[in-house]
Amino acid sequence: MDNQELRHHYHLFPRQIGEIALQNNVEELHLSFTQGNWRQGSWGYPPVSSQGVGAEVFAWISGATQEESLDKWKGLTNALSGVFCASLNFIGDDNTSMPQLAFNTSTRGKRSSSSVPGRRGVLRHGFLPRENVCTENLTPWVKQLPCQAKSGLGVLLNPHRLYNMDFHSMGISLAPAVSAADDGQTGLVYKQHVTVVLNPRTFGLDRNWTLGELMDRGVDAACPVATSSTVRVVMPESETRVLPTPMRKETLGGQETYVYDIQKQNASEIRFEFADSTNKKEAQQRLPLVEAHRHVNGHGGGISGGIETLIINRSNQPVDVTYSDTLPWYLRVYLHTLAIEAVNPDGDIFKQHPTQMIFTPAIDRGRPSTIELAVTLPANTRTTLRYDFDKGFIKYTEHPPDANRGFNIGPAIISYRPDTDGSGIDQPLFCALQSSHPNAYFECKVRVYTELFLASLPTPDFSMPYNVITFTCTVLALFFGRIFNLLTRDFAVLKGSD
Amino acid sequence: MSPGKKETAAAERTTSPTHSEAQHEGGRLAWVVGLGCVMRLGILVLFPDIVAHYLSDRVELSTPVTSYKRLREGVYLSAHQIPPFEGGGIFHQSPLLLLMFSALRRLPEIFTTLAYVAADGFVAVTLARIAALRRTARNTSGGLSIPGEIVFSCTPSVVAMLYLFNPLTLGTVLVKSTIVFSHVAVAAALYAAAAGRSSTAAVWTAIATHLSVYPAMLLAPIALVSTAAEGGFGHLDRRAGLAKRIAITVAVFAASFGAMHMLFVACFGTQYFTATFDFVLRVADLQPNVGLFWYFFTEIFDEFRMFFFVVFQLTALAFAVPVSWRFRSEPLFAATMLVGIISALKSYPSWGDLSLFLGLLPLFEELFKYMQYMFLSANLLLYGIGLAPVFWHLWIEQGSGNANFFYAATLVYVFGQITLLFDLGSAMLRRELDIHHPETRTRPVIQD
Repeated sequence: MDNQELRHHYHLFPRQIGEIALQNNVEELHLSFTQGNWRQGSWGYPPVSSQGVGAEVFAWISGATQEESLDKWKGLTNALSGVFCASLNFIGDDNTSMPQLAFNTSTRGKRSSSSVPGRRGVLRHGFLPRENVCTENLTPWVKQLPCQAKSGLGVLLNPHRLYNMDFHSMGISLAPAVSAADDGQTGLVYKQHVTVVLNPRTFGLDRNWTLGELMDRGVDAACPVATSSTVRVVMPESETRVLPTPMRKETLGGQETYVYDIQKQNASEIRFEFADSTNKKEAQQRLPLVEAHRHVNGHGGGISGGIETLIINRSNQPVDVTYSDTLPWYLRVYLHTLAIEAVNPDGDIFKQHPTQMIFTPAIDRGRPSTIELAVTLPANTRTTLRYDFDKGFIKYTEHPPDANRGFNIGPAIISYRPDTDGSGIDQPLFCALQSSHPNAYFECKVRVYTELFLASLPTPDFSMPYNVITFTCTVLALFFGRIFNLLTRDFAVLKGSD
Repeated sequence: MSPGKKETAAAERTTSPTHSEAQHEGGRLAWVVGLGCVMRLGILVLFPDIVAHYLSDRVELSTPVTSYKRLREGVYLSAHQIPPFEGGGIFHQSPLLLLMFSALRRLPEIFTTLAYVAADGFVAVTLARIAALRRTARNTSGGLSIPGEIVFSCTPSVVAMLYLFNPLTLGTVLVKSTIVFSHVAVAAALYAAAAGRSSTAAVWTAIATHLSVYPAMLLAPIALVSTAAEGGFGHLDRRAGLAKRIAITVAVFAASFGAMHMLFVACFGTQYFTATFDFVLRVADLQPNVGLFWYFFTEIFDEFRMFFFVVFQLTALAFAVPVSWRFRSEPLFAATMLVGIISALKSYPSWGDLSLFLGLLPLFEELFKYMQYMFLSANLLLYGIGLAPVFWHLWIEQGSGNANFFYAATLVYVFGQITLLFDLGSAMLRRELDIHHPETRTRPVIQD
C-alpha cells in the first residue's frame, strides 16, 4: 500500500495520520487519551477497550532491524505528539514495553487462511500515566474528521460538556483489514473514538432531555461526504422512552438498540424520557465477566511494598485471562514473591499457578520490567495476584520538580475473551458491532485496565549537593591524610626530655 | 606517645601453653562456637517473624550486593530460565553464590539456615586458630614481643566469643547477608597466610574477590608472607626470593581468579561481570547504606560522576601496597588494616564488614595500651551504629526527618572507623619502635 492509493482517499482519510503511518512503517496503531476511572461494577463493558488513565500508544511497527524498528517507534511517538499536542515524546526507552500476551494480534483469526502476509512488525506499548487530557488534545482530534466540527456528528463535540464528565476517553486507531471485495487487498482502517460518561444533572437536566440539550449543540445536517451517518442508542434495561421512532431496531450482543439515520433525521432531536421508577443511580448495565482492581500494599513510608490485584470472575465458567503489568525500573520487582490465590463464595482458598509467565527484567534507566502471566480464573471467584517490590533510590536530578508527589505508575492490563461459550450472546457491544462489519480481522478480546497508583520514592535533600560533596570529601581527606602520615613519617625522640 | 610499661622480669607470663592447657582451650573453643551456633540457629528457627519484621529490611545490614532477598530472586530467575544478570537490575551477587544456592534450593529451607550458621562458625573457628598461631609465634619468636610486658592473653576462645557474640555479627547472619561467605573466604585466606601457605591463601583470596570485590587488596600482605619455615610471622628479612614469592602468589591468584571467571562466563555469559564487578565499582544502585558513596553519588552532578568514581575507588584501593609494605614485618597486621580500610571505604559497606574487622582486633591486644583514641573511636562507632536506625526511621517511615540525618550518622560511623584505623596503625608503629629501639621505651617520641 503506497502513497498513490491513499491519495485517492485523502478527502476522507486524514492526511497527517496517513503520512505518519507510512513514514514509520506502521502496521497497526492505537492511541488513546483517558481521564477518569471507568466504573467496572456499574457501567458495564466500555465501548472501547482502552481505559487506562493517561495516554496510551501501542503500535506494530515493522523494520529490517531492531534498531530501525525502534527508530520508527520514536519517530511515530514524536510525530503523534506534534499532531495531538500531547507530550507523547516522553515515551522513551524507560516507559516502552513489548508485551506479548495482552494485545490481540489481529492476523490471528478466522481469516488467516487467506493470502494476507503475516504480521512482521513488533508490538511496542508506551504509557504515560500522568498525561492530562483537555481541549488542546480534542481540537486536533476533531481536525482529523472529514467534516471536523462543521457538520455531522462532529458538531456535538462540545468541549464544555465533554470535559465536565465522569469519564472521558478519546483516540484513534489504525487497524489492518482486507477490503470487502475480497480481492486480497490489504489496507488500513482508520477509526476515531470518543467515549464520555456524562451526568445530565450536572447540566441541570433531569429525566427528560434531548441530545441537543445535553451537548448544547444542534446538528443541522449530516456530513456531506459521509456515505452513512448513524446514531445508535443502546436501550437501557429500565423503562425508558426514546423518541422519535428509529430508522430500525437491531439486537446486538443480547441488547436492543435503536439506529437513527442522521442523513434523514436530526440527531439533536433524539429525546430521552426516563420513567419515574428509574432509580437515582446510573441505569445498571450488564456487568462484565471480569473486573479488576489494583492497589499497593505496604506501610506508607517504607521502601518495600507489594502490588495486589484483585480480579473478579463473575461467570460460571473458568476464564483464561492474561495479566500484564509494566513497572518502571526504579520499582524493583521480586518475582519470587508472586502469589496467586482464588477465593470462591464459600470461602475456600485455592492457590493458583500461572499457565504461562513471561518476565522481562528491568534495565536501570533503560527499560521497564514487564510481567505477563496467563492465569485461569476458576468460576465465580475473586482472585488475588500479589508480588513485592522495592522502591529504588534515584539521582537527585531524576526526581520530578514536585518530588514528594511521586510517580504515577501505569495500570495493569487484564485481557480475556468474553465469548467463552462461543454463542455470541454475552458479547460486549463493541465486539458485536465489529463482527457486523466483517472487514477487519477481529478477535473479540476485552482489556480491563486497573487503577493507577502513586509511588513516592524517598527523596534526598535537594538543597544539599555542595554540602554533601564537601562533607564526604572532608572525611575522605581525613582518612587519606592520616594514613598517609602513618605510612611516611618516622619517629624521632624529643630532645631535652630525658 | 605513651611509652610501653616497664615491668619487672618476674611478671613474665607469656609462656607457651602446655598440652593440657591446649586441650582446655580446645574445649572452651568448642563450647563457645557451639553456643554461638545454637543461638543463631535458635533465633532463626524459632523467631523468623521477628527477624523478618525488625531486621531483614535494615539497609545497614543488607546491601544490594549482599541482600538475601535479591539472592532468592536471582535463584528463582535462573531456575525459570530468565537470565539473572541481564539488565543488572536486581541481582548483583557472585555466580558462585548463585550456583551454591541453586543447589541448596532443592533441599528444605533449614539447610540454607544451617549454611549461614556454619559459615559464621567457620569464621569464628578460623579466627581462633589464627589467634592460637599468633600466640605461639609471639611466644617463640623474639620479634613480636617485648620481654617483660604483661599481656592479657587473648586466648582463641575469647577471640571466637568476641566475634560470635558481637551484635553486628549476629545481626548480619540473622538477615542472611551473603557477606558471611566473603568473610569465610577472607578468614581462610588469612589463616593460610598465618600458617605460611601463601599459595592457598592466594586461592582463597581469589574466591573472596569473586564474592565481594575488595578482598583483592589482601593479595598484597599475603604476597609478603614468609614461608612456613619461618613461622609465617617472622621478620621479612629474607630479601632474596621476595620477588619470586610475590610473583608466585600473584600468579596463583590470577590463575584461580581467571579459572573461576572462565567458568562463570561459560555458565552465564560476560553479563555477570558487568552485573557484579562493574556494578560495585561504579555504584550503580544508590540504595542507602552505612557508607559514604550513596549520598555523594545521589547528589553529585552528572559531569563529575566518573571522576569521583575513580577518586573514591582509588582512595580505597590504592593503600593496599603501601600499607602492606609499611607493616611488612607482620603481614597479618597489614591484612587487618586492609580489612578495616575495606570496611570503611567500600562502595556498599554494612555492619557485617565492621564485624570482621572487630573480630580481628583482639588478635593484637598488645597494641591496645598504645592506642590513644580508643574512647573517641568507640564512641563514634556507638553513636554511628545506634543513631543510624533511628534516623532511618525518621526519614523513611515517619517522614519527619530527611536524608541528612541518616547521612550524618553514616559520616560519624565512617569517621569512627577511620579513627580506629589510624589509632591502630600508629600503635603498631610505636610498638615496632619499642621492639627495635629499646632505648625509646620510656621516652616521648614524635613523628616528623
